[in-house]
Amino acid sequence: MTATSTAEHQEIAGLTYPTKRDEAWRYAPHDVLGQLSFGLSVGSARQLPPAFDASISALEGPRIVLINGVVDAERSDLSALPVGLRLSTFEDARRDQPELLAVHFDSDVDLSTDTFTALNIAFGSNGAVVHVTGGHAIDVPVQIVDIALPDETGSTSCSGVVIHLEEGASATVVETRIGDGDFGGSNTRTTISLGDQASLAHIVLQDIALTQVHLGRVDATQGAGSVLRSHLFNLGGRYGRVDYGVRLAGEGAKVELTGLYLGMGNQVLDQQVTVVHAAPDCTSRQSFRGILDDESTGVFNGGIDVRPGADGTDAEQSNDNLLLSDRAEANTQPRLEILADQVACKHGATVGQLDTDALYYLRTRGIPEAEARRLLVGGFADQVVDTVDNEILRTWITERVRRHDG
Amino acid sequence: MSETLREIKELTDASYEYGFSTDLDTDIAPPGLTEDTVRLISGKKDEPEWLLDWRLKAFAAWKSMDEPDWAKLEIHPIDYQSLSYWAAPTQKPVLDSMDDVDPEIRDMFDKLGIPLHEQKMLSNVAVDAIVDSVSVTTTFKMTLAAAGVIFCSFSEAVQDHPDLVREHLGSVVPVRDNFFAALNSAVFSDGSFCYIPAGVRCPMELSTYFRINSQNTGQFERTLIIAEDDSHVSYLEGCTAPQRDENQLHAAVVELVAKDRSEIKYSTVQNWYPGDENGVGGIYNFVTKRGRAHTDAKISWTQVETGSAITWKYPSVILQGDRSVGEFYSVALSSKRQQADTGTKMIHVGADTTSSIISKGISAGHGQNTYRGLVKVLRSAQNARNYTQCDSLLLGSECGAHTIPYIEVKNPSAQVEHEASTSTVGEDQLFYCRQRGMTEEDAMSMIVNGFCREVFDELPMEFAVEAQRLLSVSLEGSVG
Repeated sequence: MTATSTAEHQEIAGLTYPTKRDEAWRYAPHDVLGQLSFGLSVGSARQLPPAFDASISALEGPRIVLINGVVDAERSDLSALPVGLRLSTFEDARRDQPELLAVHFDSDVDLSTDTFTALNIAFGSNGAVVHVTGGHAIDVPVQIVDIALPDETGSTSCSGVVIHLEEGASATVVETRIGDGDFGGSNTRTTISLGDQASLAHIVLQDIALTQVHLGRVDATQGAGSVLRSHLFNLGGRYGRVDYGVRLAGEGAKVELTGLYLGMGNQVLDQQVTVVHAAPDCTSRQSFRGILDDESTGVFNGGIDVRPGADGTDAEQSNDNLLLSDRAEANTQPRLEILADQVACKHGATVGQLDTDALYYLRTRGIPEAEARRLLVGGFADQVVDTVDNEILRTWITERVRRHDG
Repeated sequence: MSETLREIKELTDASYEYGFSTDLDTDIAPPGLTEDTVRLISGKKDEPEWLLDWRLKAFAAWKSMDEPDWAKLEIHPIDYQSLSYWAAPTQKPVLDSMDDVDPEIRDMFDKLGIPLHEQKMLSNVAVDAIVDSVSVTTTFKMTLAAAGVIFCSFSEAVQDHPDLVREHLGSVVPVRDNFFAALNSAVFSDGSFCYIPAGVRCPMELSTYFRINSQNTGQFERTLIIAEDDSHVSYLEGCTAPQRDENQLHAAVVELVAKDRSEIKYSTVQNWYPGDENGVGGIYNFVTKRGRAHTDAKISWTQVETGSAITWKYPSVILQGDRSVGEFYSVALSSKRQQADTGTKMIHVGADTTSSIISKGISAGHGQNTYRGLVKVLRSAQNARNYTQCDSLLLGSECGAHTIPYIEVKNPSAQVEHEASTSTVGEDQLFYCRQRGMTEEDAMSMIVNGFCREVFDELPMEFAVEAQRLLSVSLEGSVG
């Protein structure tokens, strides 16, 4: 099958392409999305930019690298895996761990309304499986790198990541989504399942080329007492989007989602989050911060969904936006949907500019305005960066965030 | 089921005290909606040609529109062709004084506690009473006229002040604005018209009382309030309907125009029949309310929504002029099987505009309560400021509370804050009160009233008392 445009797919599969009238796609650049094309992954004939190799090897540890949705064996490193960690490609997993892939492909997502997930299921036949067996704690971060290097304008690669932590296991997984090219991009989907008492630190660094599009989706299901800490750094892309769907299915599960989006040029950075409290006594925290410069647009659509019977829910959500330019735009929609009564839920959202008093204070101390601005903006962003516990990762992220800070 | 839950259930089962219907001779049009229906209504009211054209344009627009489906509401399909679009109590055509009002109508309003008799009136409130589609009477006309204030039914205004109506009708809510506004524009029957001349502070509170009496009718009233430069008016609106098993449709439009430095305060206590505990009957309330605030003007919406099976209502302010102010205070209660999807829209256009939103949602029984609001700061709105606070209270395990705010900011100098919380009445709070000798019901009532206080404080005194009472009646048997 050759690459076809989104519009053609819609016709073939009876899919509905989202429009501005769809809540979750209200602020997306629909003209840009309409030009994307999808097809089976065939890899890339192009040379990888040297900076990418440096970036990949900056983090030591086991890794799987995918280029245009095809595993790049040369750049992947599956040697010397710590005890308890099984890291494999979809191809291997199809043979050895088919049940893990089944969870990934039998998605609960309503495919009739989510075109891009449907396309990912159709074409994302390659990817990585991170499986930690019972009770093991994996110290070294596992890296999954997805690179979009389209040969043809508009072609968008699809790939997947499956993370499964058995009861009591713990691990750190870093997903990097990068790319190079005039257009096209990547469509990735991650399925996380955490056994009881399992603990996952999860980082998504979305740093695709500013001319490209990234559509990412992370679905997580958590068992009793499990902990998920996921940090999103949404930096790249003409349109960079990550959807989170977290389901707290076991009693006492905890999730902490933090995110930072830095927009410049005409970027649209979109985060769509839904945390479902389906069991009693679960805790969720969402904290997303945006810094928007030039003509960029930030979107936060975050929901807390408390199902009947999820008593003892403790949920909080915040979204803060800093507008640095007259033409930047922030759209925030913090949703609460509550169907249980013994709950404590809070959300807050703010949009503002740099505090002029703070700026003045710094200037009276002899700090030039440009530097003072950088300090204040940096301080605003650090509140998200600092939530990353692992020091090596924090330094690595800080370095990447700074490039966008300018 | 805990004792609390059981009591909550008992309380929500409280009956609707305005559920009686009055046997009035009524002139009803046959059901159905066609261009002829629109012509019939316009003809009955002896309307000028331009208004008929305007209605027909709205009707054409409505036919091309779809019912909105984005709200968090489960609505039985409405058959617009089975409704009657015109119902009027028949009575003597011209009224010279209050004594000429049909005694049955007067009794009905007495039962509702509306002071139609000027003699009996204690409070300083001028009332325009509307039964089904037609304005029955307007009190205190003379006093108001002396101040230069025009307060009359919409039909009278069309006859007596056509220029004012023509200039402003549809200027805030255009006919194509939404499905229900278009429907209203095509078939609106009557409503209130109010004009405050420049520099006048309206000497009394103005009030409209709406009552749906007939069966199988829709009520479509239209309110237009114009406050000229430097004027001030406070306007109250109340609603009830008899208890019937069918769902009745109410689709109103309210337009406010606040010119430079003027102030309009609009308060609503909505207590349409909510349906029974199984969700049978009740009013479908689809209302479009919007005001435009010019330079230094202020528009303040206060609403207490305790009735209706379905409430779909978003009183909005377009902050057009520099330094204009918009306010929204709301208490929305849904118990039994009631569903409310309500909130506000604040559109900041002018510089230094300020808006504040205080919304209190209470859910009990099987009620579903959604706050849906939009704060939009346009590029031109330098230094705009918004503060939003949405709190929800859950009384029971079968109900739901949802908060869906939209915040869209296109100007970096804007300062926008949104805060929301959802909680329940703690057993410990109730225990504390009961320990001090309060009954469980009193304790609950006190806690709920405390929760709503910021909003009740905004209501004119008589209304605040009424609102508190309504809230306790609506929650009666439902709270523990």
